[in-house]
Amino acid sequence: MLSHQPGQKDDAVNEVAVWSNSDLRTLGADQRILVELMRDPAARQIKAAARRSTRSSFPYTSWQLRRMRVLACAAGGLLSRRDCRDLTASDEIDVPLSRLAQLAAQSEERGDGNYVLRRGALLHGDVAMSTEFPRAAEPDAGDGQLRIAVEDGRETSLRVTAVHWELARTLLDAMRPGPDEMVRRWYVATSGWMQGREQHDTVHLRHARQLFPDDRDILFLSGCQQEIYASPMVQAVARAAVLPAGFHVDVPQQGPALADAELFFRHALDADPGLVEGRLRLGHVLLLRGKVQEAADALREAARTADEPQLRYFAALFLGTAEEELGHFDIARDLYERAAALYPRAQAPYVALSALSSRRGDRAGARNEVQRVFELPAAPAQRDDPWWDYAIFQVRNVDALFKRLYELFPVPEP
Amino acid sequence: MHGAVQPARDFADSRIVAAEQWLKALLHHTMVTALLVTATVGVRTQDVTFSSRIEAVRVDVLVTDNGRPLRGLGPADFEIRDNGVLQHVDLVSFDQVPLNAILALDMSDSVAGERLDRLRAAGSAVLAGLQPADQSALVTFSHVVRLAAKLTHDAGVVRAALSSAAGMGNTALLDGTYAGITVGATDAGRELLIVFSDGIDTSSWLTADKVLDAARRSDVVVYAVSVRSPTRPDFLRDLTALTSGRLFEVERTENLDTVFVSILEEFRHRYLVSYTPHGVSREGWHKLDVRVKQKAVTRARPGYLSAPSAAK
Repeated sequence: MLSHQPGQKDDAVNEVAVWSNSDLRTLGADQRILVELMRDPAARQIKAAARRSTRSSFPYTSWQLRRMRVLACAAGGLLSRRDCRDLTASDEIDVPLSRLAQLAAQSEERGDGNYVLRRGALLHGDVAMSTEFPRAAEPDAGDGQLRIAVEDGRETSLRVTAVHWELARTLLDAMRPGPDEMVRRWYVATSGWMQGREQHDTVHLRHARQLFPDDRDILFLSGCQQEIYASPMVQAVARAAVLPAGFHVDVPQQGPALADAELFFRHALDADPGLVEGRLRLGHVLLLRGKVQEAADALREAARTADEPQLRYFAALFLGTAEEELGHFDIARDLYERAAALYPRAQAPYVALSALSSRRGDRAGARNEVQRVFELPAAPAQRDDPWWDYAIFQVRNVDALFKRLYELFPVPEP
Repeated sequence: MHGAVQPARDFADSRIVAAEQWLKALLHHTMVTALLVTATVGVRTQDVTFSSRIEAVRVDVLVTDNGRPLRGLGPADFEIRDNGVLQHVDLVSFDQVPLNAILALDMSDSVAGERLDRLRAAGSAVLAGLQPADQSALVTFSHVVRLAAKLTHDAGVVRAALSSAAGMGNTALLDGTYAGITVGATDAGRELLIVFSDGIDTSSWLTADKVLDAARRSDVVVYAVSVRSPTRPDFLRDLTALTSGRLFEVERTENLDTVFVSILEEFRHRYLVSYTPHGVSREGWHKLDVRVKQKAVTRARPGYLSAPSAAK
């Protein structure tokens, strides 16, 4: 395992992916100490080790600690520093570590002493994304997270997650002078990836908001997450989950989830009033919260400015619902027809039209409209309803998000 | 220890080796994004006129004495209050009006293999119990709602559609149930809707409230069969209560055919009572109170929703 190419499931990812959570926690402790030593290879007192020693004895023998100092010299690109020369660090590292030290030193010369931290976070993120589903490294959940797997609305398994996301976040937290654009892009891309795979993680976005409280993209994705949490399916699964003692599902009740979603979307729109999808989803959330007039206002604006067909489709459906709730049945009907015209093989507009007819006491009309559903192609593959992908539509650009992240990493000299 | 130089490749202390391996793993040469996965992914004025047609109200009523259906009751035996106003019962029929038996069956991913076979067998058992004058239809739903067999007197057509139905996709329980309610809502016949689902809704457009609203406006009696799971079948419970049907929560599906047949039997033992409302406003929610003069238990829908019919 000599190299990892960000974004690839390579040998490095495969090797780290099989490490147990116990190993990873040990590694996490080592990483914290390593980071501290990178800042000061000759440090006499190590805070991270001291914190850890409250639960166990100091983790290293004196020889091991010396080796950690050598590794810190390499990882920090500090081999030419006096402390590291005194350690004869450059004599004690092999070729790969020398190469790493060289890259880190080049980064340091450019004013960025966080090379290893960035690379480490990318590696752990890639490991987390490389497995189809977070694997249970060991049955003991310890102080980690559990993940509920849901298939077709039913809980199918409860798994211990590997702690790679946590390790990645910890590394980025250690950056000096603080989180920068790369960190922001990493959180946006990885949060988008999670939502696209419907692997929801409350902690990840919460941490992102702590670092970037006014960022449009992070606020938008936070709103989307809460909107999804408020869905009947997630609520039903979260309420029914049977968990080991001491664990809870980090999903709020529907009301608070919708309130948070509204808040996040509003903040995202404060940051960027031109965020059409933010306004669309705000309108949807307001509708679900019973703020129908406000919802209609937001959705009209979204419908007016949306340029993607899917966004226009959602806007027509949601605004149709709002108008229906306001008693404007003819307008609602026109909007549902507009949605049907945008996606003629979609089911939702015809179902909505039928229910509208039923609501108006027009039973024959309700039958006729539902007949339009039945006249759609029978094969699921031939139906085309963006509504079915609404929960992941917000991350349709996830490839571009990662591309923007990797743009920040120039290809090094061989 | 400064002089204790030891080549890294010989360094075998497991306490440190992970950190060293990790550091080496960070090396890179090129940037590739192969890991990534793309996400699949003029205001018009209202122009409505209202018809003034007065329609009879039909109420399906199950009357039991010690759990057994009570037979032989006539109009004089029933007492119906519509919003508290005693109504004159025009007609009572028992096992005389043909059925529109609609099967709305979950054909999502979770219904496959043995469970699908049992569901087909249960549906076939219901079809086998129908009379020649009865009609049946099959609605299947995954995320896709389909009318697999339209309302027909030929149960063989429905049986054939049932045998070819297969499970795939997510679950649009609400949309599928709504379609089932609507398909059977004809002026002729009594509408029995049997809904089967083993999961919760994951992809419907309609909300539970909208489907319940449609049920309030229809004469349908909904029986539902749900495979027991930690998630509560709240929607099916509400729907069956609202339409005076019943929810069966089964642990397993071995005896699904028995459950389905018992539904048909119970439905056949219901009275269809009709009256023309008087003394009550036509629109809005009508609370119903249905009783019989005999010592017996009645089960009927708690009310119905009447809206003015719109015409353009």
